[in-house]
Formats: sequence, C-alpha cells, structure tokens
Amino acid sequence: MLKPKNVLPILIILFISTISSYGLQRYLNQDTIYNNEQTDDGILIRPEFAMTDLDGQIRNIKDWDGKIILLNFWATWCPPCLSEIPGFIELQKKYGEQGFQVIGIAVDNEEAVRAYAHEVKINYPVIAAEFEAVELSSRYGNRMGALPYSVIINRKGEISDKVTGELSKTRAEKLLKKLNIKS
Amino acid sequence: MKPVKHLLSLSALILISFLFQHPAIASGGSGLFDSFGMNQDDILDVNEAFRLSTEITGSAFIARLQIAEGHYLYRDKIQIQVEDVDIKAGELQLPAGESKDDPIFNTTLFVFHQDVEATLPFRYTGSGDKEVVFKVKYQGCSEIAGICYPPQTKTVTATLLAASAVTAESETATTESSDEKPVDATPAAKASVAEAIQVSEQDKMSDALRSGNIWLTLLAFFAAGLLLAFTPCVFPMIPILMGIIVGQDKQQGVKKSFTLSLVYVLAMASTYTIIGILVGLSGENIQAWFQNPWIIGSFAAIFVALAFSMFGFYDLQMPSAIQTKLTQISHNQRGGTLLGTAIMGFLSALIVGPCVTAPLVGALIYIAETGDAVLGGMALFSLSMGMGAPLLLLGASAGKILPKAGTWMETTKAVFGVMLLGLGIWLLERVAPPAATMTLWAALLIISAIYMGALTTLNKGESGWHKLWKGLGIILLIYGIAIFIGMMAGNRSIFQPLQGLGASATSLSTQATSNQQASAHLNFKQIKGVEGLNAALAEAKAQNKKVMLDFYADWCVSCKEMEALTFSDPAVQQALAGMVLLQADVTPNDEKDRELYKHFGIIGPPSIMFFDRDGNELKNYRIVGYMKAEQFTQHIQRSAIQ
Repeated sequence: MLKPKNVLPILIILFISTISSYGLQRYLNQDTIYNNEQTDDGILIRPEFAMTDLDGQIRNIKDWDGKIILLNFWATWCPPCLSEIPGFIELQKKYGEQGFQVIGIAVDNEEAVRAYAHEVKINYPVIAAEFEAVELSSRYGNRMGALPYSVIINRKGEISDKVTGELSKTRAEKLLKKLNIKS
Repeated sequence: MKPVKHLLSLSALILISFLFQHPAIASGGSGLFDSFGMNQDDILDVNEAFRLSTEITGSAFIARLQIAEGHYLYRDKIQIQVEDVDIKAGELQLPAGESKDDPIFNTTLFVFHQDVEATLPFRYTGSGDKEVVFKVKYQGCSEIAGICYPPQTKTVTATLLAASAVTAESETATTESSDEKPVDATPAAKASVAEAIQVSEQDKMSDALRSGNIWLTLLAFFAAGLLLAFTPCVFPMIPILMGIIVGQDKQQGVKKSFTLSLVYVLAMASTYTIIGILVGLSGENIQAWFQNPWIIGSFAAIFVALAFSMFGFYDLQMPSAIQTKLTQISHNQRGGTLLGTAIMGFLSALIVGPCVTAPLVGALIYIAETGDAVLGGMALFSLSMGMGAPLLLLGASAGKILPKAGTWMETTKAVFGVMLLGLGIWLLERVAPPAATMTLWAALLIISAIYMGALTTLNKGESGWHKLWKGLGIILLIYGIAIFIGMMAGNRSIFQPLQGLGASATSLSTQATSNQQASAHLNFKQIKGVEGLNAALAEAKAQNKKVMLDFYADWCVSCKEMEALTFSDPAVQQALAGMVLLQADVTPNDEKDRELYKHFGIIGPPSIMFFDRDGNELKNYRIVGYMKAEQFTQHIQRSAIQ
C-alpha cells in the first residue's frame, strides 16, 4: 500500500522540477525582454525638464536634440561620482566636435557644485538641484535613485544605454562607438 | 472504473507536460551573457542598506540606523527635525564616527560604517495630546557597489501626551510595538509619553518573526491563516475538495475522506510554503506567472471535465499506455487517488487562489531581508495550515454526513458538479472578456434551474423537498435571466447585473462603455509603469492633492473583493473624496509592471499606497490584502492627518 508518506517525495520532486524549469525559462525569457526593450517598442525617449544650470540659463534636454548626449547624475558627496568626472571632461574635449555632449545633473546644493566645477574645470553644462534631480533621474530609468547614474541618448532622442555606478572612460567610449562616434 | 482517479492524474499530466512545453522555454538564452554594466538589482535597496527604527522616550527622540556591511552614512548629513511650537528641541547627539579623508576637498569627513544611534533631546510644553511629526534625514553610499544613495527623509508621527509636560519618565515604547494610541486610563505618570506610530500590518508580521518567541509567532501565523480561511482565497478550494471526496466510487467514511482532505491540505500548504520561500528569495511573483490564459484555460477545462463526470455523463479513461505507467507509479488505486489529490492541492494553491495577504507578505519580507528560509518557511506553513484547517474539518465531516449511495448521492454529486463548473467560469473571468463569462454564468444558472425542475409542473402530493428544490430552482432561473439581461445591457457585474437599468439613458450608455467594474464605483485613473506613476504624481502635486494608488489584477482575488465590497461603500467613497485615485492594472504582469513592483519593493497586487501632497509615499500606511470598509475608512482618515 502506498501511504501519503510515500507519495509526498514524488510530489515534491515533481513540483520542484516543474517550478525550476518554469523559473529557468522565465529567467531566460526575462533577459530577452530586457534587451528587446531598448531596440523594439519599449524605447524610452528622453523625458524633458526645465532646470537652471550654473550659468543661470534654463535648460531642457531638447536644447541638445540631434546630439549624442551623456547625461550624468552625480553629487559632490559621492566619491565614485567624482572619480568618473575627469574622464567625462576628456570625452567632451575629444568628441565634442562630432556632436557629443556631456551634461551633468548634480543631486546637491548649488554652492558645493559650483566650487567643485570650478576646481576641476568642468567643460560641460552642469545643473544643480536636490529633490528635483532625484526625481528626474528616476524618470530617466534610475529605479534605485543610486548615484552615479548615466544615460546615453542617441541622435534621435532615444535612450540607448543606462549605467548605474561608475562609468569609466573606456567603457563610455565603447558605448559611444555603438552610436558611430569615431575615435 | 475509477473515473475521478484517472481524471485527476490525467489532468495533472496534461498541465505539467504543458508547462514543460511552454514555447517560451525554447526562446531566451541569448541575452543571458549580454548584460553590460552593473545590474540595478545587485544594488541593495536604500531601505535595506540603511534600516531605520525609531523610539521615543519622555525626553528624547532616538533614531537607530542599521547600516549594511560595506555601506556608510555621512555624520554631518544625519539630522532629526521637528517643527512644532510646543516642542523645544535640544542639540542632536551623535557618536564621533570614523574619519574618512576626502582627497578632493582636502578635508576630513566623518562617517559611520556600523550601526548608529542619533538622539534628539526635547521638551514637550503643550497641554493636551498632540500629534507631532519628526523628520529623520540621512545620506550615504555603498562601497561594495560603488554608488551613493539619494538623500533620505523619513517622516515619523508620534502622539505626545499632555502628561509629559509634568514628568518626563523614561518609559519607552518602540516603533515596532503597536499602532494603538495610548488609552486614557493609563496612569499619567507612567504614560508620560507614548507614541502612535502607524506600522503597516505586514511589517508587524515580519517584525514578529524577527523578535518573538518562535512557537508563539507560528501560532499567530496559524491564527492569521484561520481568518483567511473565510475569504475568497480559500472558498474556491471547497468545491474542489468536496468534488474529490464525493467523486469516490466507494464511500469509505470519515477516515478515508479525512485522509484525502489531509493530503489535499498538506499539498496546498507545502506549495504555499515552497512558493513563498522562492518568492522571498527571488523577489518574483511566481503565482502571477501561472495567470496565463493557456494555463487558466486548461485548468478551467479540467474542472468542466470533472464536473461532467460528476453528472455521470461518462467515465473518463486514459489511453492504456499511460494508465499502465501510472499504475506503476502508484501501485494501487488508493495511492493513485492520493497522488491525484495531492497534485490537485498543489495546483489549487498555484492557480486557483493566488492570494497575497498581509501575513504572507510579512513572512516574505522576513525571508527576503534575512535570507532565513527555515523560520520564514515555517511561518508560511503555519499560515497555510491555518487556511487549510477548516477544509480538514469539512472534509472529515463530509465523510460522516454524506450519504453512502442512492438518489441523494447523485444529487449531491450534481450540486458539486455545478459548483465545479462555476469555479471554471470564475477562473475564466481572469482571462476572458466579462461579456463571455457573464453569458456562461447565465447559462449555468438557467440550465441548473431547469434540471432542478423550475419549469416542470409539480405533481399533486409532491414532497416538501421537491417544492423547496423547485423554489430554489426558480430563484436561480430569475438570477440567471437577470445576468443575461444585464450582460446584454452592457453591465459587467454579476453581483449587480441590472444596475443602472432603471436610470436614464445617458447613465446607461456611460455604463455600457466602461470596461472596469470599478469605474462604476470609484473613478480610478489608470497608470502604467514607473513613468506613468511619476507623471500622475507630479500632476497631483501640482493640484496639491493627496494620492491613493491601488494595484489591481484580474487574477487577484482580494483585489476583486476589495472592489466589490470596500470601494463600493459610500463612507469609503466619502473619505476618498478630494484625493487623486490611481490604479495600476497589473493583469499582464509584464516588464513595466514588474518595474513598478520593484519601485515599491512589493511582489504584486493587492497593494494600496498613499501619498502626501508632495507626492511622497506614506510607507507606514501601505495596505496589503483585503480590508473591510469600516477599517479602510479609518485607515484613510488616519493617513490624512499626515
């Protein structure tokens, strides 16, 4: 006689294999969806904003339409953010002529940002805004609000890459190459 | 023939083989190694990186921040603010911290890598009880992930008692303890200050796991499960189990039916437990995966087949090859039935009642945060056994009460057959258009009524039972016709099929165009994805309005219950007046929906959130699972104070 005691192991094996195979399939499938999102119908078009930069000008992402944009969210109190900035300055110097533009958005107070921008001689527009900047970064797909966070926007205004954490110069160049920036 | 046994095993086979052959399994694969850059999922959520708990004593507000390994907080960014005329706050007391050189500014910063306690001494000079808002601000980074988190501001509301102006005894109450306001009868000297910080129910449950006595906690989960047994999370399982029991060829009394119920309940409970642990560890809503039209459709078809065999239309037989194989597995019919019953139990838990409830989420939060699958799993098992206990009782008593054979047995079988058909339609409601399922409901009711003799003349001298039976049949007939008429008039609710039929033509046409049953009660604005949410929140902020966000899905049982019973209540509607009502319909459970879950750190519907006028979420006021209208109204009113 088969007792419930003997049935349970069979059941559990059956159950676990079902779940794990289905889970594996979901996992694999999910990754595909994620990659498709950036090329197919789920493309994120750069959300617009209106914020004042360090020069007192009101800026909208629209102002740079037609360019390849590296939009970088950072803060002076965020060490990994600061270590990537020299690389961005070089990128701006090197590729600016090809229609490439770095834009910095600092989650910070203006004074600190101004002092730092002056110190390291940032050669691209910087906007300082506290709460608004956090909100904007989430509109640009930064779910956790973590800094640094960078997005690369192609000439059509579509977000082609999102990077959480430090973006090194070499990696940025790789991403730009995909958009036909020549070194 | 043992129709039920074969049917159960067959249905399980169909479903399982279907799962394995799901087309999506073949796809995928390519993207696995493509991931570039850091995955946002690898980064701890800010609330896990820095865990805040607060405590208030007679003379101080204490904020404790637990800092995850490899993370730090800046000392000079930790602040506690309180703005109230009746409060005189002193200076914030903080430990010295560790120094961290800042090469860029050539200054030395102080940071905390370990847990830190910030104390704000204060004096309450007011007379009378007062709600006071404390704001805790902090900011920090993760050295592991190489990122920093945006500045955090957490709002904590406390009720200060008048007595604190007199004495300031250090009677403490922690945030986690309760959400009950101090009672007037408390001796004034003792309750110098108490607090009324709202803690959401699921947090209470997860805190209980973290701190309490194991056995007591498990008992609490069992009790919570018992309460859930009387909700639509468990109701659908009654006809399934009864169908299995009365579907037996030979009735073997209490012992047999109890064994069957036990196997069913154990399978259900183990399923819930294993799913729960997987969900807790992975953060994915596994049950939602099974809400796919094909799976639901197959399961509904199984119910229909099972129902028809109850009506004695046929004895379902499997091809002999499979039959032989199954016999090898199960050796004899008893084992076979038990296996079938167990499979039915686990499928029921997966597909029929995907109920996300506060105690469930509490256990999931605990598992997710601590990774302690053992205690979390035990809690889930107790919860499910609580849910299943009434089924056990019912199953055992069925063996006692149900007649052994004869016409009555046939009638009983037929009744459960109809209930199983109803269950099939109910399942289809999640995936089929309402007009179709309403037609099916109408057909089921009308045809059952005819079988019950609603349209047959009673012979003279017919027994009272027959008259009663016919009376019931006529009620079903009328209800069935009403649903049919309502469906044709464009209504989508089987509970109020004729709603609006007496009203003017304009309101009728509005009803006809509305697809959502909810819009007949509350006007929700539908949102999709995190961007949709942010846009809607920004709009509400511009209008200076508070916001309620409801997560809804067609397959979410408690969502439907909430809609039918709570949102339709006039008091609830009045309390919600002036608020912006948003609804995220996550029925598709797609990438955007999952992004939204992630955004809030939830695993799926049901979930209701409240936001203040600035668009900040009042996290302590989250609701998971069904809440009665009265309770819900009070909850809204409490959240409105913030």
